[in-house]
Amino acid sequence: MKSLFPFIFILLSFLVFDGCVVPFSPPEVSSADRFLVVDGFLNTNGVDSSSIILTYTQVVSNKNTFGTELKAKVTVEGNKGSLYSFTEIGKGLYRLPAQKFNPSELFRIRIKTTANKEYLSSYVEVKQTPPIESITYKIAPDNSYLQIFINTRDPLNKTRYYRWRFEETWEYHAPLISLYEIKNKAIVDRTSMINICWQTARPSNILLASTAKLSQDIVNDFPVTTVYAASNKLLIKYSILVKQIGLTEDGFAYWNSMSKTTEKTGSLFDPQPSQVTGNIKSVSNPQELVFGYFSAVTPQQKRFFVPATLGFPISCPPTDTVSIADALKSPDILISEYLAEGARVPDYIIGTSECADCRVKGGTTVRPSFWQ
Amino acid sequence: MKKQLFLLCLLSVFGIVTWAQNKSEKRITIVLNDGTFEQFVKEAESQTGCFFYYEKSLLDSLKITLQAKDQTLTSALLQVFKGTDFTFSIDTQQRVFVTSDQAIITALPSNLFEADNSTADQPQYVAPTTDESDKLLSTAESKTYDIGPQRQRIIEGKSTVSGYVRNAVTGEPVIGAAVYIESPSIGVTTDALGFFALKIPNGKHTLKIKSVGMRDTYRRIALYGDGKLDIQTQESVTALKEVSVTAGKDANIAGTQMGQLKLSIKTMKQVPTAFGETDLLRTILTLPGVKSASESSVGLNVRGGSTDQNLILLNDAVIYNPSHLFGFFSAFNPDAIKEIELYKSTIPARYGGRLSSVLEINGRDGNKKKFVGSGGIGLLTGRLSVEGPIIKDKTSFLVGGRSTYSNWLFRRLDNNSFNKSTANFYDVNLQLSHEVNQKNSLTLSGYFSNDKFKLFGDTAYAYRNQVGSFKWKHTFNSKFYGTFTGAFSKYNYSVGTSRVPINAFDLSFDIQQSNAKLDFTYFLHPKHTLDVGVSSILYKLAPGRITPAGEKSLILPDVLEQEQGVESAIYIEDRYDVNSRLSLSAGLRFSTYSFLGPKTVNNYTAGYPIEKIYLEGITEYGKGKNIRTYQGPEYRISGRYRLTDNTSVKASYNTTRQYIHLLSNTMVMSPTDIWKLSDPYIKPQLGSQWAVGFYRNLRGNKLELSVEGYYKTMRNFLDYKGGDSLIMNHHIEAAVISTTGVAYGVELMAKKLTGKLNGWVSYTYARTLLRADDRTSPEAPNKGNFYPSNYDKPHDFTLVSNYKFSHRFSLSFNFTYSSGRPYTPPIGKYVLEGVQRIYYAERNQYRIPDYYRVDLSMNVEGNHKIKKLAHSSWTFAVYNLLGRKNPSSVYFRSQNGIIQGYMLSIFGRPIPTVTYNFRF
Repeated sequence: MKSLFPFIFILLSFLVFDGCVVPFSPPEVSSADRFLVVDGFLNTNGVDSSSIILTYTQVVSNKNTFGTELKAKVTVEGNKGSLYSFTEIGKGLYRLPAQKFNPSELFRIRIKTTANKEYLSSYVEVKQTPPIESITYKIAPDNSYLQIFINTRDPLNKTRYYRWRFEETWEYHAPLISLYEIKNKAIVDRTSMINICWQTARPSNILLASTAKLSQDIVNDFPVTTVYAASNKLLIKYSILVKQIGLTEDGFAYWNSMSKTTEKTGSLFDPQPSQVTGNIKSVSNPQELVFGYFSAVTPQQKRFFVPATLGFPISCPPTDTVSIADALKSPDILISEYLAEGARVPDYIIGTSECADCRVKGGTTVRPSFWQ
Repeated sequence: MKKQLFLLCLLSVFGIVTWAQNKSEKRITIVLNDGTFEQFVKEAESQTGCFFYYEKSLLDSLKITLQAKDQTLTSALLQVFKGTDFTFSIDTQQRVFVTSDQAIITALPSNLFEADNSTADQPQYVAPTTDESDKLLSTAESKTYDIGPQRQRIIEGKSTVSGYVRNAVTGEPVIGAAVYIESPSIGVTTDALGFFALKIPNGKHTLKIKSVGMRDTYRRIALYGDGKLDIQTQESVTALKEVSVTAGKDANIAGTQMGQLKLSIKTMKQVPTAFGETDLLRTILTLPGVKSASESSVGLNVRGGSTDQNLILLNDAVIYNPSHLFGFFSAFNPDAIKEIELYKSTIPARYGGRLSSVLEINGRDGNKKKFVGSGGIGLLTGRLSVEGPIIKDKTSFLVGGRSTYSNWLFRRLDNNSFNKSTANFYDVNLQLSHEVNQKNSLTLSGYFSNDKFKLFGDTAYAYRNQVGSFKWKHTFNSKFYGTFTGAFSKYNYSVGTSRVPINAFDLSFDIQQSNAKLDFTYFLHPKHTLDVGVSSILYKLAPGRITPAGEKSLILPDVLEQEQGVESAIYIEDRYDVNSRLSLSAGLRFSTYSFLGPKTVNNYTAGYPIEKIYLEGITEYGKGKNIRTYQGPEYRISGRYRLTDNTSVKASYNTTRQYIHLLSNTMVMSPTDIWKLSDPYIKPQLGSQWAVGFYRNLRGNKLELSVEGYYKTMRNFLDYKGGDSLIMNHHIEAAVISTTGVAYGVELMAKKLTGKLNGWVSYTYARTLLRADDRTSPEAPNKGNFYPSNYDKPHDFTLVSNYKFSHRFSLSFNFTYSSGRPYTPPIGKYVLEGVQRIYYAERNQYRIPDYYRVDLSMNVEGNHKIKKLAHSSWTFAVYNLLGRKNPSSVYFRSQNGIIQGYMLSIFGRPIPTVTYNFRF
């Protein structure tokens, strides 16, 4: 349907010579209203600490960084009397060290801001998450892409609602290897190589599944992501870290609406968006918008290295062979020496940074600790 | 006065006895001393109940001195006129006629007509069917027609006179013509075939005939018994910009119908449009209570209903997509249309299947006398139609076609991407009518429309309507007639792309319905008219099929299983004229719908929302297996109370049911929207409407004022949930959300129908609000509270006017104002788990800027010489004269991580057009 829109528009502009589009500023309805955003959850696995980040919303047109709530009082209370206080780390981040929780207790979060506003979530149960059983992959018949799947099961049949997040890391190489660099206006041997990089991405799409309709709590071959050969992520080595989070039914509904209303932009032919707020309310004004969903979970994660490669190396010829003097002035990167026949001093082969410096494409030369 | 008196005498010749024979005469007591005759009359009338007829100027010099005590009126009058030339007579109806010299004889010799009771044959008047009729027409009014078996004496009682009203020139039936007598006030309107049947007291009457665009005429009849009278009428003056908006000049006062609007093609032709072409649906959009979500769309929202809730009938066949070019043009050729009728409140019981309105489009019958043609050339389209007799005065045909030349224009453009784009449409109308004999007539009509677009030489869209209908009308007797209608409608669209061979596909959608119905009208009694009928519709719907195009395509073929359903209905409706003031109409329609196999139905876990994640297996149903039945009654009740001759109040209550739904995820109606039959999950839509109205006609029915208010509810109205695609969706029931709608409003209208200046002014205040049925669902918009619909535009003001400077030159001026359409803006953003998310205001809580537009058009007719090759006219129009950039929609795009809003205005500049029309 989306593709109809430009057509109609173009047809119109032709037909009536002036179907026009002008910028339109939606009313700045909430310029004064900043709403609290509670990002984080209570990690009940007893091993990791829990983090809560308190920030504020801002109007769409605002390009500044998001405001944070400093010096708030963040506590988690159990319905059987337990009380945990978070300590402020800074920049709106509040942390609670790892500890044991009573799994049969219900918890809620209470936030008191410096403006003396109080926010309280509804009680949530401690949701156990079973470990990820396996991560598998399938290569498309034409080798154009690779799909990664997840399998999990809860023998107790209690989890039922799942959400996944993942981060992908891939190693990639610059086509040209730079052996020299310029230091203090002199050509020296390169000390740290810039042709091997690792890049990490955390796609934001919300992945959800439910086994509520199944007789057993089993998730089979749930597609996590599709990696295209053309992206060159699969050329050397690709790894994915999948985080599995068990959800309550209510929590599932929250993420489901979030997925439907915020992963689309509001164009003419897109669905009507709706308001998504979570389980946190202002104590004094229940109508006030508060974003975020408080939950008590034990996330599980698993890393998987794809034992296959896809795609073709890019060919990237050097740009030139130049004299030392020119090499020192060149914005390009020195690849290697070239000693022409009979010459006493070597020339240098140079290449563009796109071809010789892998960092240009956003990665880092620091090998991740988990890399195999 | 004398003339009147004479006429009165003539009319009261029968059944009158002279005063001398009157034994039960009233008595009076009166004392007058040198009084006037007027005083005497006043006193006598009040005491006896008699009514005096006399020439005032003759009697004003008469001085009366009289002392009467309990005398008969006769003896008192004899005293009064003693010694004068005046004489008098009294008839049985207590009327006193005062004349000089000669007394009026109020009765004939009593034995004059006693004989001759045996003329048993039923001589019927049959209208001449040859060219003589033209000559006869002028004399038709002066002649008295004898109806029924002629006797010497008229028998007391009532008889039915029936027949057809036809256009004397073309032989076309005149629809909706009022046929009535004034004393007592009894009247009917002609039906779709021009037929009328009127039960009136035996005796002499003047039958008056009034109708849209036709000259008012009358027939004098002497009614002896049941009989036939066909009436030919002539078009009023020349076919210039004749003003004719509604049938029956006082129909809005006298009828029980509410929210009914009728427009003749002539009225539609004077409303300026964006592309110069007469546009049926755009003209309807100028009427109160009818709106559209966007200026670019002709999707009608009638009194808060959605675009799929209108039953659009072209000669009784359903049109699924009434537009061309993605909704910019209406799909009807103005040359092939006679008139339209829109029911937005009181829907007659014979119609059903849609919630909000019925739009009846009557095609034009071909000329039964001679071959004629007409056509026009406009900015984007050309049209031509030819009509004429096949058998003179019996059978006629009309063929009309229309096409665009935008393709040719595209190819003229320098831009390469435009060169490869194509936009093409055409439509063809065919109408055959045949009069078998006096009692049987047949109509066959066909319609075909085709649209084709190609975007930059890539994705091709095509859609078409194929429609046919057959109508047979049979008159059993003058009180009872029936119509059999068979119709077939098919709508399909296809989308295809072939640019990337591995992704090339063809996608198609198809819906078709076959329906048959029988309608009977029975003139039970002068005060009762009964309509009964049955109908049945078979739906077949192919919801989608995608196939790879070409050998290289990797698209997996997929077919959505065909759906079928049967909708049947039976109805009865009685129009009851209680007395001259009160008139009631009550109808009951019972409709039943079955969703039939073969079909595989998805099951969902009980107690959970219908969501894909709760899917739990399937159930297969065999061929013809009844999967789910919905049925229920529909009530159609309306009443009219006439306060005075020119003022009335009306009230009505209507309920409707709809078993077919249009699923759309776009703001405006799109040809690729999906039709869906009711199934175990998608319940039929139910509607009800209460309406009251006040009507007043001023200046001899020339100016009509009306106020109508309504309150309407809609249940099981589907709204798109979002997230999922509607196309090729195997779980379509999970992609929609059921809502309840409430609409209410007030419509004020003033119409002036005649005179040099004519047109209408209307103001509407209307709201349409929706609310999710499952109010606690996280999907429910606005936390389960009411929110405005996409086409909720509270204020609407429209002025449509036309001024005739002369027979050859007229000017039209339109002004439209409406509130802006609601939209949902993103109002803020926040970060969650490192990702920026947007939040929106509550749904449709904001409005785009208001809309207003001025249009002007000028019509120049060619000369009026009767003998010339072709009759032509030019229309010059400017749409959006002020060039206001009216926003049509606003939308938001994310660019470099920043959300930017845009406002699209479609006709943001004055658009001049020229159209040349011709007739030959």
